[in-house]
This record gives sequence, C-alpha cells and structure tokens, in this order.
Amino acid sequence: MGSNHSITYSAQYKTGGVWVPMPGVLRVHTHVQSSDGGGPFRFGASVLPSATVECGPAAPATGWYRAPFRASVQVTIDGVAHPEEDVFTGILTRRTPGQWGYTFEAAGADGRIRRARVRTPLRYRRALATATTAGSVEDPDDVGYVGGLLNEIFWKSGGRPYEQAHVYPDAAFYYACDGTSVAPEWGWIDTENAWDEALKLAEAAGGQVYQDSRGVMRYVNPLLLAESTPAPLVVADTGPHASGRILYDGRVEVDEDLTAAYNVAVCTFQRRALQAPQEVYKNQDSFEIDPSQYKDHECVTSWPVRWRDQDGAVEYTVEVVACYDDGYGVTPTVTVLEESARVLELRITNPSSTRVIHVDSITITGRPVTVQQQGVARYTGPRFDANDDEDVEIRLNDSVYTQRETAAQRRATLAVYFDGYPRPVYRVGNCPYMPGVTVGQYTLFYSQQLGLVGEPCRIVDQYLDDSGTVMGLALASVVGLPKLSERFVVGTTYALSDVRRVGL
Amino acid sequence: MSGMLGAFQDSPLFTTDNDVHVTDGLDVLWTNQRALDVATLRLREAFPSHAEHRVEFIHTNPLNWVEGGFHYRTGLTMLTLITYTHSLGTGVTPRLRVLINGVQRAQLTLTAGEQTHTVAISSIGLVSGQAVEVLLQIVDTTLEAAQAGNPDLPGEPADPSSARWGRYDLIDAYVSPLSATLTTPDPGPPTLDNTPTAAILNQLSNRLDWLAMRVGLVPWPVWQRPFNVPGLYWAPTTYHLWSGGIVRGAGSTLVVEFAYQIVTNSGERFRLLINGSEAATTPVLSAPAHNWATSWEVDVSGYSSTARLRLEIQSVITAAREADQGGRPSRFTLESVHVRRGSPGHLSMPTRTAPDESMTWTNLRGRVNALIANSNAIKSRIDDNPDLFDRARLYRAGYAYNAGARLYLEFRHMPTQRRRIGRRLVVAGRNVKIGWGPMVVRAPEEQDGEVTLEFAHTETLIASNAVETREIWLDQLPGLRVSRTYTLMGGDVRFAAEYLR
Repeated sequence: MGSNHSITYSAQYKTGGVWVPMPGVLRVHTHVQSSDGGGPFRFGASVLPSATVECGPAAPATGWYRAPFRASVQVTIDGVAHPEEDVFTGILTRRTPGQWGYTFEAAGADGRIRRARVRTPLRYRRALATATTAGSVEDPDDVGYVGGLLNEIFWKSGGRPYEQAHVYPDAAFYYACDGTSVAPEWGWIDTENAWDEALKLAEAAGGQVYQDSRGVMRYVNPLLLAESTPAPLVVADTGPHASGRILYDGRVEVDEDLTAAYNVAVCTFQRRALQAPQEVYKNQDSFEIDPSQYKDHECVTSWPVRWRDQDGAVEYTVEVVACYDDGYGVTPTVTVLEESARVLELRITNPSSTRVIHVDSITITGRPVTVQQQGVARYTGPRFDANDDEDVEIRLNDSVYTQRETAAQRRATLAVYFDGYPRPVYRVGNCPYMPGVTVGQYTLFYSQQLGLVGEPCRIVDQYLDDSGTVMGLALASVVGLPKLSERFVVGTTYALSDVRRVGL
Repeated sequence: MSGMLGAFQDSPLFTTDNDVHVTDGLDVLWTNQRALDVATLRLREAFPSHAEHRVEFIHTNPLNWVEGGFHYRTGLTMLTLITYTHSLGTGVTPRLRVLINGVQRAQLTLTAGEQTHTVAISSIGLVSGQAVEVLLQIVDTTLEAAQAGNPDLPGEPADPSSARWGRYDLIDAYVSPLSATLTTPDPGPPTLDNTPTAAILNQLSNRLDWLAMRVGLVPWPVWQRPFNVPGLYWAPTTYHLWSGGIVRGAGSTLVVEFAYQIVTNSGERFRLLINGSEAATTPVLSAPAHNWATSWEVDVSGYSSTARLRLEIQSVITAAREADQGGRPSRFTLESVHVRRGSPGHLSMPTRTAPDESMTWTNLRGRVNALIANSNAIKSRIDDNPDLFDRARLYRAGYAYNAGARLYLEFRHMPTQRRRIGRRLVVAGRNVKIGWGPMVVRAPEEQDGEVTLEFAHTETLIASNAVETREIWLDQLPGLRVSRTYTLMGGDVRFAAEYLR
C-alpha cells in the first residue's frame, strides 16, 4: 500500500448554547459497537459509537459534563488532503487525567436520548417511523403533524432531520428515518428513557436504530438493507486500492452465531380500543395553595387517554373540589398545561389574594384506551438445517405497539427472515483508511479465502486506529434478504405486465 | 379470535414508498371483507314473544307483560313495537303501557290483529352507551282506577278461561334508525388504475373498516331460551309452548331447533303454526320418546319477503296419564328459531394474496379492484335491508311476569346464544354468570326441586347485586369460540347482545 497518511483532528463542544472548539485536542478515537445478542440485523438492536478524546492541559475543567460534542477528521494521503468529515456526534460523559493532560469519554447521541423525557398525546394509526426528507414536517407542534413516533422521540430529544441540517445548524444531533408501514391503532410515548423506547419502536416496526460514523442517528427499514446503492463500496483482497475500493490484507474472520438462530417466532399482541367516557383519574390527597399562588399537578392515569377527538374537540372534564379554611367551597382556576396520553398536567390557582385554599380532590373523566384482547401469533419458517429434527422457537419481546393479530404475525415473519437464519459477519482489519466510509454502508465484499465474489453486505462495525491510517470493518451479509425493489411499492406507477412480489 | 368472523382486524395502514404488504395489509382487507360477506348474509332470529309457564297472571292489573332492553346510542329516535292481539277479552279495555327506565312514555290502545306502535326515544334523557330497560304492561285503565293502587284483582280467578283473559303477542320490537348513530361518512369506493397510492389503498382499508363499524352497530340479542318447559296439562288438550314473530327477508327456510322428552304421556305431538296454521309437526309420540337435538325446516319462500310471520309452537296431547296416576308433564326446550337462505349467496372473493407472492400488476390490480367492487356489494346489502341493518332488536328478557316468577324460572328461561357470532358481548343485569362448554342437567331431585345446569366453564360477568353494564370480549373466555353455545345465568339479565366488533 505504501502511502503516506497524516490525520488532523478537530473537535467542538457546546457550552453556553454555542459550539466552541475543544481546547487542546490531541487525538479523537472513535469506535462503533453493535449491541450484544442476536444476529447483525436483529430488530430493535442498535449500533452505537463511542469516542475517547485526548487533550492537553488546556482541556476544559468545567462545563463539559453532558455537553454536546462533535469531532471531525481530515486525512491527507500522499499529500492529497481529503475533505474534512464528521466522525462523531454525542455528549461528553467522563473526564480523567491522562498522559498529556486529560482524556474525555463521549457517548453517542443515544446518551442524550436516553435522558430525555418524552411524552406524546395519543396518536391514532400513526406509523412508527416516517421517512425524513428535505420537506418532511418533523416538529410535533406543527399543525397537521403526522410524523412517526420514532421521529417524535428524536425531535423531542433535541435531534433535527439530517436532510434539513442547513435549517438547524445548532441541532444537538441529526437523525434520518426510513418510513415503515407498521402503524398500531393507538400509539403513544410516555417515558423517562426515550432511548429504550426508540429501540422498542424499532423492534416493533422491524428494523434497527443506529448512529452512523457521521454521527447521524438512523432508523433503517429492513427491506432496504439488501438494496444496492449506486457505485457501492468494494472491499476486496485483490486489485487496486482506489476511490470507492478498499484493499485489505486478505485475512477474514467469520462470525456466524448458530446458537442464536431460530426458525419459529412467537409474537404477542394486545388489541386496544377506545372506551366510553369514564373516571380516569381521582386524587384524594389534599394540598394547600397560598393566596394568589398556584400549584402544578400532574394527573397520571392508569391507561392512555384520548383527551381530544379527531377534530380537536375536548373530550374530558376536570372537577377540582376545594375549600377555604372555614370549609366554605371555592372554585379555583384550573389551566391545563399538558395533554399527553397518560398525563394531564394542571395548574391550579388560588383565586383569593388573602386566604389559603385546600384542594380536596381532583376528578377527571375521559376516554381511556384499554386492552380488549390479547393473543399470540406464530410464524414457522423452514428449518435452516435440514438435519434438524425440531424447530427452534423464540418469543419476541412484548410490545404495546403490536396491537393487531396480523401485525404480530408480520413481525414474527420478519423476525425469522431477517434475524432467525444464521447470517455471516466478515471481519477484516488493516484496511487503509478511506474517507466517507460509514457504518450502515452497502458494500460488495470479495474474499479469495472464502471464495466470495461481490457478496452484498452492510457495514455493521467500524473502527479507526490512532494514526488514522488503518480501519477495521465488520461486514454482515445481506444475501437473500427480502428487498423493497423486488416488490410492488406504494406510490409507484406500474405497467400491466410488470412483475413484482408483494410484501410480507 | 377463531373462525371467519375473527377476521375483523383493525384497519392496516399503507404508506408511500413502502411495500404493498400482505400479512398485516392486503390480507387483512381480504379477510375483513370475507367476514363482512358472512356478516351481511346472516338473517334474522325470530323475536320471542311469549312462553308457557306456571305463573298465572289474570288477577294482576297492570300486567308486566314484556321486559326487555336495548343499548342506546345517540341518533336512535324511535322505539317500534308490533303487537298482535288474538283476543281482547270481554269487559276490559286493554292498553299497552310503555315504560322506559321505569318512566311511562306512552299508553297505546290495543285492537284486534296486528298493530304497529311507535314511541319517541330521542328526547327523554337517554345517554349514549346506556343499557335501557323497557317494560311493557297490559293495563285495563278503567279497572286500574277502581283498584286504588292494589294490582291484585279481588275475586278474580287464576283461570285462563276467565272472560277477562285476552291473548296478546309482541311479534317484533326494535329501536331505529341505526344508520343515524354512525356520524362518520362512508369513505366510498376508491378507483385504482396503475398507481397503488397510499390514498387509494387506505381508502379501501378505511371503507372496509367503516363497513365493519356499520355492521357492528347491529346488536344480535342473546336468544331467550325456554328450557325444559313443562306443560301445565297432562290431560288431553292443546297448549301453548312459545310464540314469536319473524320476517323472512331473503330467507327461504324457517328453521326451528328444539329438544323434547315425553315423560309419561302416551300420545303427544309438538307442532309449529305459522299465522295460525299448522306448518310442521312431530309424529305422535309416546313416553319415553325423547330427542335432544331435532329441528323443523319449513319452506317459507311462498310468504312475502317483507311480511311478518306469526309463529307459535304448541303441544297437542291426545293420550295422557293423569297426575294422580303418576302422570307428569312432558318437557320441551326451544333452542333457536331463525330463517336461512336457500343458497349461501356469498360474494365471489378474489384470489387471496400470499406474502411474498410474485405476480403481474394486472393480477394484483385485479385483486384489489375485486375487493373494491365487493365493498360496494356489501354496502348495497346494508342499504337494501333496513330490517336487518337499520333496526336494533329489543333484547327479550325472561318470559316471567314479575320478580318472583323470574326467580322461580331462573333455570327455565335462560338467555342462551345457540351459536356465538360476535366478538363483543354487552350485558346489563345483576349477578350474571356465563356458562359454556359441556353441560350437565341436574334433575329436580338433585337440586331442591328445580332443574339446574352445570357447565364445564363458568365466569362471573357481573358480581354486583346492583344492575351494572359490562362489555366482554368473548375471545377472552377460553374455548368459547365462534359458533359455540353459551348461557347467561343469574336470572336477572336486563340486556344482552353480541356485536360483531
């Protein structure tokens, strides 16, 4: 290979709401890690980056904890400087004394999402994820917002659509979603850990959430995994090392976890239905409010509640019983601050400027959405080993987003297709650095050792060594996975003689 | 949910740039449509009017003649009652008094023959979703004034041969119009050419959902089964077992399913009368003849499709053993009375699409367009049959005339659904249990003088001693699949009806 590499790091962190250069940065080391367990395309699994940042003595001593952080590199090969590219976006999580000054550790954007408290109103027949585009409406507060629940989590965690990055230059992170047709009858988010919820959504939708090497948080629709891209990256052990073609040293390790394989998937579902108006909240704890003061009170319901109908008309009533010290009744002013699926937040104001009031009870009637039917769907595929004398079955995680029996059936089917059958992951090291390579990228893989010629793969793991010279890659084969392009696609015009498959 | 009707899944969503998915997409539309086909082919159960029993009522004025209930929804405006007065009795001026939730809402004059009475229900304070109780009384208002609040008529013999003993049947009762209770408009049929857009596919999805909602408005009241009815008489005579009414509509065969046991009589037959004429009969039977599952199938195609047929089942005893000689009454159980089509008349369904199936666009388009065309046919069935789809039949509570009789008849007149068809059961009453699965009949000797039933599975639906309304998703009861029989026990069921979704 014999080329001369040099690498320049730059990093910024956000302090006081402004991106500023990270002082004293010497080196940024990034790594992308697949989550444990299952095959490379297990639904709901994640591929997450982490970074260590080596700084000199000028490293910030304060204001860094959980600060947004981003890093980029510029590599020069044989005197040719490649464009600077982002290699990481996340938050700083730890600072320890290092050899030259201080070493910081940074987590990906998941670290931010993990701490986000996200609540949404009840959404009716809302896709779990919708495709982000340059024109997609992503702000949940916009009139006519119809974005997916996953999009809503990303937005409310501080993310902004990657395709609209120019509009949001100061976003905490960017996200890009494929669409999915998975849409439960009733969906909502109410979580203190939005990252876990995002993974649950991806699991229910079929697909994965990951943060690519550019720092973009992505949801990928599984039917697009095996789709080739124009001028796909080639990873080969013979031929030249050139633009769009990585030459590695020929050594390949193959991971293929047969113990995790299965051909039968069982998936539960919970059918939910909107109920007639009834009491959904009653609080008997009394509390006092000083004169002219107010108290905010979160009324948390057992079931998600539809507070407004499809036309936006209010469907609930709030009754607050209060009295003065002498027992005479008083009607406090009640303002609704938030209407999320399981929380109605009230501001109760004492109308008197001279007397304390005692709030004795709060009663709310509304229309809850309750579970009406529970059941199980099962998909049995062919055994992956003809010599096996029995099926291997797994039970998929229960999900509130799987509400139809047929939705459970489809989820089980997709799980067996994408995750059940053993799928090789090829690990190659000593790849010369090539700008633009990222986790999730579609790749054609060649190996004389394994007799592979242009095996379609996706990059599922990536690291860059300290010098910026060498990359390691893990490539998961996508051979045989169902592809969207082979199918009839909603919104596409066909000729009568066109032949395609329908979906799963 | 088991069975074809279990296909009622919630609507799938199709989104641009995603595959035309099948398992949770096209195939749901297909199975939902097949379920709609079945649901809109189903015909009427007879309205149960009256069953024989041991409780004499002639000495009561007013007479609590019929108790029933319906599930009110905003949009329903009218309660319709169709009576048939066989005889008025002499020396009385009977009126039909209508009480809704205990409040008198109408008092109607009864005359001989068939009458249609209507009572407005739209502005009487009913709440949508409420189970409403209806009590129909026969009252002689002149006599009532003379009674001074005492319903017992002094000196009146408990004797049906009394001249005061008129004979009345309620041959239909319903609230309407159901169509007005659905405020969402029909999305209408989409048009599919060569671009399967999300708008088109979702319109079809929404339309099937709307049709399911529309059909789902129709309650199927749980049948009030006269169980093991003992005749009052064991001397040679003819006595009434049950009466009711039905409109045959698109049906051509009247099916009566029943069971009997001749205990001691040596000459007895059971017969069916339509409009007063014998239409079917068993042979003359002698003890110990019995049949636990038999039926009459009567060709009724000669009757007008819109005419209401008066039905009556009688026992004709020609040779009996007197009671003092150890004679005992025969037993008769009526399981179901309904009309059936001459031919199934199912829609021609397009080929079912399999996941991952490869085909031409012509083929796929044809299948989707066939679903669209079928949705029009289903809509037409609904629109063209208001008797089936625009009227919510009254649930007929027990055939008893007062609380004491209801308690006494608890194990004889039991709401029993011969064949479960729906997904959801709405029940109003007190201390209600549901029983299903294999059933054991305990003889009176074992059970303190009264027949009782024991089911393999029972579940408490309403534990309260106060009247409550409950919704039960029948799939949650293990083994109670579509087409299986179940019985509601407890003796005080004010309303019970199945809904398709």
